[in-house]
Amino acid sequence: MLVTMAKVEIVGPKPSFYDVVALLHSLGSLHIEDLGKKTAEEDLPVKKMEVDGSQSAQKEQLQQLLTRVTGIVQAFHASGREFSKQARQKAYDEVWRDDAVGLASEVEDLIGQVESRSAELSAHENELESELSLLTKYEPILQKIQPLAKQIVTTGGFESVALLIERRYKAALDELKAELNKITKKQCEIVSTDVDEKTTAAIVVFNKIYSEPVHRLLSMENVNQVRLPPGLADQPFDVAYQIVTERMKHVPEDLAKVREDIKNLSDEWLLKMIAMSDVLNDKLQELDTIPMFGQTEYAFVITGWVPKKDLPELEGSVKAEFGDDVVVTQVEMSEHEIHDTPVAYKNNSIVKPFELVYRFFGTPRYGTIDPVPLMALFYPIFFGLIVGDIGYGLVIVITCALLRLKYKSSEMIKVVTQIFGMAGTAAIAFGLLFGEFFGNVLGGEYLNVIQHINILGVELPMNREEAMMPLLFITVGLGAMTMLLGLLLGVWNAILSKSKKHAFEKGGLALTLVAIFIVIAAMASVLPPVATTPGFVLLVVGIVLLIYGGGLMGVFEIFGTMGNILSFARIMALGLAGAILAGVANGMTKGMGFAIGIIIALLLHALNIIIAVVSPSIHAIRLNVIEFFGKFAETGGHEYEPFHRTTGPRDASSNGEKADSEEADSTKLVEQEVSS
Amino acid sequence: MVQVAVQDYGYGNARIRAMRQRLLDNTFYEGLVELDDFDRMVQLLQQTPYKDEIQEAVLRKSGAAAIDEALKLNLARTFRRVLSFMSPEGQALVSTLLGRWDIHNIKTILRGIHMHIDPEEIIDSLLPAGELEEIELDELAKQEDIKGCIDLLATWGISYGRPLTKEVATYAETRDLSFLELALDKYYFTYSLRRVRMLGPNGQKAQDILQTQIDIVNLLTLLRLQKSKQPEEEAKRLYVPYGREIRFEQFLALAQKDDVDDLIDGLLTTTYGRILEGAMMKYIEHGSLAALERALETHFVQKGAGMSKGDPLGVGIAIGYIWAKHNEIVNLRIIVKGRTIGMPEKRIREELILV
Amino acid sequence: MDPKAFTIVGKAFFAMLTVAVPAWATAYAQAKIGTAGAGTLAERPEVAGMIIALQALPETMVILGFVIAAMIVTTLK
Repeated sequence: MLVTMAKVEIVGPKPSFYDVVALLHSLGSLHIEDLGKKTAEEDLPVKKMEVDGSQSAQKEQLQQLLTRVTGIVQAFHASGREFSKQARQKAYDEVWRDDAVGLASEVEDLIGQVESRSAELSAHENELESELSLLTKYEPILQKIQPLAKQIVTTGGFESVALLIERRYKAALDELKAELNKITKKQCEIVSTDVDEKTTAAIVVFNKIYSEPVHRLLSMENVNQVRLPPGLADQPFDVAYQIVTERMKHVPEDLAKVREDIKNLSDEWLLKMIAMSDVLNDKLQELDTIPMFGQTEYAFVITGWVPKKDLPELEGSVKAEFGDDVVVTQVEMSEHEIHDTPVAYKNNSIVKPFELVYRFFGTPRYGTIDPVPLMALFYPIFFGLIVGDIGYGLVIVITCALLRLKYKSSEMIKVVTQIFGMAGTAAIAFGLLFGEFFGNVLGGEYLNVIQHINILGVELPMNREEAMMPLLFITVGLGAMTMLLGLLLGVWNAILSKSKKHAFEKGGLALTLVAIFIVIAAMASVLPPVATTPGFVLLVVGIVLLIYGGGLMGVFEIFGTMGNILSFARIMALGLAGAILAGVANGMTKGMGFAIGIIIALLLHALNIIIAVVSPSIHAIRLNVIEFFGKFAETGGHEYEPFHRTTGPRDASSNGEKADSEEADSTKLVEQEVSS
Repeated sequence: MVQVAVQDYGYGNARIRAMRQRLLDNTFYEGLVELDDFDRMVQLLQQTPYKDEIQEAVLRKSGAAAIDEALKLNLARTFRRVLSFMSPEGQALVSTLLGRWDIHNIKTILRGIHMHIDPEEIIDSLLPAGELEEIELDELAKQEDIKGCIDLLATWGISYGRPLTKEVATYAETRDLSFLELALDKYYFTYSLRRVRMLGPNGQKAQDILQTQIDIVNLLTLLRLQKSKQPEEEAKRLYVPYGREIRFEQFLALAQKDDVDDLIDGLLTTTYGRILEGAMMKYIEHGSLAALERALETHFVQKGAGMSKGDPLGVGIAIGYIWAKHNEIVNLRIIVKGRTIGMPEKRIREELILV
Repeated sequence: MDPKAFTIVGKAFFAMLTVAVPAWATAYAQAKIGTAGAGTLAERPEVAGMIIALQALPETMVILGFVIAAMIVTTLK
């Protein structure tokens, strides 16, 4: 069921505006209508509430503060830290100020205490990371010329230069030596070695006096001089290598220490930071909603929706704080306004888990039928028909029960086990119908306990492997009935939303379908042949209505619907596949000795159960959502999103999911680090 | 890191398409250009995918410097991410194409050192879009002379060092940077074309881009040769082979034309002729070749970004995204830098390239 | 060759084909959908439901193939 909403209009004198907004924010039950947009589109007696200059200045200031706070939180690298709700609420309350200016200076204060320190640490961290990265670039080549460097000794009067030459120019080394000898008057030495397939390294040592000519010569040649990291340019190469390796060992240690410091800082401040960002976000949200309100010369106007049951509370609180100055009135919704109403679910606990499933596919429009209870009915039926095995059903139900007991607190487990619990029960029920218990264990080849009874000409239990064609017809028939039901619901939806064309379209389609069945049945002699003529008449009527309601495209709908009906054959196919696999598993016990056979049989059954949980689920959902709901459900509604505080009092109610997700948004701040 | 089958572009393309939707559009640029306050710009960028990097940068710097750092960080990270979810073949192709920006950066650094420009300024005009990281580029820019820079490349084992080393003697003699730049270009194109030629139909797309690049390099050379005294000799030396449309003979012939009009007329048989014709007005107005160069650049960027149209299961989507993203960053930098030096809004708008 | 044996072998073989070819086609299609879907989900988690539904779409091929194969084997005597 969809929660009944009441549209309200709140009017009051302009001076009380901000107080009313704060009150609404803390009550957290009003879904605000964007009057700003509405006044732009339609002609209304109210104007859009303007944000005055000081507001936008405040807003900017708060935004800047928020950026800074989030920057600090990010530098903390504190991903995944969770805080209890009470801790967050407490920190929140400590920071909260009602007026934006006071809030800004408060936050500024707090930030000031921690910002420079975290900036310092963060910059230091960056520096260290860069240094490490840079050193890593130099390391390989220094390592390779290390053995060379050890071979030479540089005393004070000599200079050494390390060269890299491309392997193919190695011959030039000898020429180089000759040249150098000439320049330095033989006061030089060259040692060389290959560093990899393409390069050779050499170290040249020469008397410092000849430094200039030697360098000039070298710069002309097709050789590269090995450059040392910044700051180490004057060191001999082996010393340089030592230093580099030492640094590379130390930097990670330094880095760890800096990160430790950051962690300490974050331990002290993270909660406050998160609270500040929550508060800033809320304040900004308040300021952001201002353009959504309306105003006249002396009054402000706020329109929105509340669940009907919350209306008294809203009226009461407003009256308590503002007396008769501010008036809350319920407004009648016009026809086309009904569609804009936000949508919230109100379902009993059996149906509730399915809300989550349907959420993936869209939100129903207000005023239309809530499809979720239907899903709660049909999904287990489809699932049960496909799996159709007492044993498998039992396993599923028992597993659900166990999981529920073990993980009492997890919401997700509750939802999943509830859905599968119902599905499993349906599987058991249909298993009785098909006489399957872990396949054909009860059947003729094994325990042989089945008593066949004959009801209405049908032999029960129905063996799936033998009764393939009847089963096919049954499932397709089920499909036809579901489609028909869907179309009838579609007609009702169309009536509810007062759309005549749609009503005719769906109605016409339904009629056409029925007519086609009558005709086919008459031709196959299931119905008396005399039914053919009225069948054709009905067909024509149906098609006419269809085209009137939906245009020529409506005719294509017929084929689409036939396709949908046939789609239900998958129930039979999947079910049969499962049954046969179970039969094969049992057959294992015959082939290769009982003991081994049983083990293999159990393994195969386990596999079959796992497949049964996945595959029929998806297909049952698909049949539900795409085929069945496609015939009548209308999505396009928007969810009920009340104007509320991040850690407001609405946590426990049915809107709590939204509040939780808002909370999750703030913890997302700290989780952002993980994703990047 | 995701392990993807050698040929499967499906995963990467799906992600890249989603990322492409988040690229900024013209309305955003408009909004940004109108702001005159850097803090406001930071706020505006907070609402974009640049949010994370802006928040990081704001802690360490402020105003325009923060935005610049954020942009560079975002670019490097985005490209790394794109490479990470491509198939091995895709990675090979895209990283080969990214070399374009490595070459561009190295040339910028060499030019900066040659003209004795302050390292900080050189670093300011670099964008770490290629395989060379920001740290490496910064260090290269800080070298004292050209030889030092080239030696550093060799020290780090970066292959671009080799062609540069060969030409360094000639540069030392002639003090003409074009020797080094030409060596770099030729090396890059030969190596890249060889690499992509072996990689099937996707390689074709990469080859197309590379060859268009070669054409543009040659065209830019032609435009500069207008001022030369010995066009024919220099043309012979400066020609880069394997271009898409401009062959050697045509290149030589065009090098001998006396003025730009004739040059463009000679080019009308190619796609570039019409493009340059379109920019003639601007050229005449400002009297500088920059307008023509810009037209070519715009054409190239649009061509690159347009690679996304076509095979949805090929490398085109990745190439298109890379080009579009790089262009976006360049546009943002233009806006920020324009504001910093006080460029009028109208002028800033003209400088933006919109794909 | 004994015509009855021939019929049996023929039925078995073609029943095999009726399942095998659609199964291969389904696998190929779902593989492509899967990788692209994984990529889309990585960037936009909100479309998860749609992606799962799309991923299950090609299943129909192998199901209907199975139905025909079963019919071949059991009913076409």
